[in-house]
Amino acid sequence: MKRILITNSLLLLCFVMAGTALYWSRDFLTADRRVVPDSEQTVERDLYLPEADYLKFISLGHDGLISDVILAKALTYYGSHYKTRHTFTFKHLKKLFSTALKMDPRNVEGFLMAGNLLSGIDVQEAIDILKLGMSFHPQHWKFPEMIGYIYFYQLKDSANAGKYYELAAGMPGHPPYIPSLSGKFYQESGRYKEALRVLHNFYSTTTDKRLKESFKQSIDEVEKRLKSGAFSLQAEVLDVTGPISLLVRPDRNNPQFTLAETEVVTLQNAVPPEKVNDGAWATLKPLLLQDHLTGYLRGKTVRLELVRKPDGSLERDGLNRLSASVFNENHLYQPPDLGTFPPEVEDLKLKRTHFQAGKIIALRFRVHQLKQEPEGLYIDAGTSGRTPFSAIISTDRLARFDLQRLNQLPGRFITVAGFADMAADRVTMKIYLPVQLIGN
Amino acid sequence: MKANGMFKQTRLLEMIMFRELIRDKIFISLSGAAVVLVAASLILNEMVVGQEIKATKDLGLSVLNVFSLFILIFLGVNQVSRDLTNKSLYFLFSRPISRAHYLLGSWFSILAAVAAGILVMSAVIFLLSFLQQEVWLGGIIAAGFLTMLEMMVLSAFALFFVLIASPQLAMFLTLLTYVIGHTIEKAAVIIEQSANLPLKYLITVLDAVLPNLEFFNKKPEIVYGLPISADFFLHATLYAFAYALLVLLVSMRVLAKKEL
Repeated sequence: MKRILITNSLLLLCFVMAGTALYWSRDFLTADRRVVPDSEQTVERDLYLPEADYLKFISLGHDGLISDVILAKALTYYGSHYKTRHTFTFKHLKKLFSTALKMDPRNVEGFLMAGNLLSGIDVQEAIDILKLGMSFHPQHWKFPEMIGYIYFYQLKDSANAGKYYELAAGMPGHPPYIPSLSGKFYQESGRYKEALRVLHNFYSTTTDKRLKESFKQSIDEVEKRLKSGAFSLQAEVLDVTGPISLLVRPDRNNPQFTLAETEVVTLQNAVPPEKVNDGAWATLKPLLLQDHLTGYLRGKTVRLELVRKPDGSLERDGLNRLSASVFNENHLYQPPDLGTFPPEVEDLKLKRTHFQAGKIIALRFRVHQLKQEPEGLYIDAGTSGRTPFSAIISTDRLARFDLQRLNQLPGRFITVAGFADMAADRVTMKIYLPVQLIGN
Repeated sequence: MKANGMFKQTRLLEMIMFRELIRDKIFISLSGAAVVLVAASLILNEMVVGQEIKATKDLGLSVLNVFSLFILIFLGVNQVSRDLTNKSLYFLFSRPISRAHYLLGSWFSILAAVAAGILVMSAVIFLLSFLQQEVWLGGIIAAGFLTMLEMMVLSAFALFFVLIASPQLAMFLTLLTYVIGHTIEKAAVIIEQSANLPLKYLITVLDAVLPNLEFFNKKPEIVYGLPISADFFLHATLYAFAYALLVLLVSMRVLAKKEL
């Protein structure tokens, strides 16, 4: 009896000791494993990855599955820091993507997704991963197109953008706008001869009458520029002020604006009507329709087209040329803020949309009602519960929406362009404020 | 007439062994685990944004391949080694069944069990892809067929290893053959640059003797729906049959000489 009691007591003691040890160790180990947001140490531990070649060697033929798992890890890594994405460095993202995609190089979607995500973090890494994709898919137009897009919109390098768009234009299946953009980008960078070469090339090869006509117009325009001795100049927009009607005024001899051969240009003596907080409002320039490339903002580098007049002075070329340069990513249009802007927002029905994450898109609407204000024309529409869209379209003498004919607009179709941001929590259109530049 | 009788005996033996195999709890557990794992691709789908069906296909094909190997190793090797260690072969060989027929019967029964496993897993993969709005039948059939060819070669090796080693070692050696078979090609390429001569010779010999199982790996083509030529299937089938036949012939010789 006594022996049994001792045995049981010992067993109980062992049980309690084991339980306590378990509790302590579990606490420690749990704390050790706890993910500390943005902790480099945690990230290092969680994202250790051998080289793709080694993984391929030990994958025993299951490369696709391993690639999927790493890709899932990359997306989880990106997603877990999504809220701090503007400040977080994501230094492992490229390694994760490149390893996953080297394991499964046929995954075109994966390359494009990686390029898209990385372009918001480190453009050079985005270009690297897209070039990697291009090396595996040398005939897929989407890779050079995306690289060219990054060069133009993020690196402000029109010459390289033109080069990659030209490359994309030589690949099967490319959309019809690619060749003309190639010419346009060359033109933007002041490389008129390249622009002419590309445009002549596509003009002679295309059979589409509409495209042929468009190429012809572009060729004439470039030739005219070449003859006039035009050249381009890199400039930075320092400030944006002034009534919107002035900003889009086509009068290049307006005394309010002067220009000198300098790298810095400033807009003065003006107050933007939609100011509120910088970034809270945006105005869509009606001319967006023309080439999808208008609008630019302060703090961004632009390229000016200049013409030297016979007396030696410089003259800025038309506003459209200037405005085809830059979009400001900080001016994300936020529909909820519409409440603080002039009241009634009118209905607009979306006829057709081509949403594509982070890309320029064109939307075609049927205008139902318009609300005309001194500074602009306001339109708001929800495409569906999933794709809300709102826009303010300003009007002026240059605008496609002729003030005299505004009343005729309801019932007609209009097309506007901007960026669709599918990566955000909700789909939004990034629409940009058009400004007028003057030299100091 | 005599040959016909022998063939019938082999078929009978194969049927009996096959039934025994698929009634084995291990077979049911393995098939169940494979089904659960393939279904788990739905979780992976959630994480691989934009390419849902690809994750299902990748995971499905990998599970198909790995679990066929498990069925082969845990069931096939186990059963034959049980026959050998339990001395039940004495009873079998007292009947008009030769050792060679026993070996062939075992090989066919293992393949039939593997085929049954592949069928179950393929049905689940098809169902999952169907639920994701894609009728993916051709790919599954091609993958199932190529896995069968691979298992054909491996089961011949498994039988050979059972005859010359203990069951545990035979399982290990079969697994090793699978691993080497899938890496030898890459190893040979890497070692080509190496200055380590003994290692170079070893890899060269292994490359020459062991089967290159990567020949049967067409997962990327199948997943991305790329064309695979009929010539490939013809040559892969020829390669698998020839390799299996060679190994089986050696095994028959070993079994004939083996003291039971």
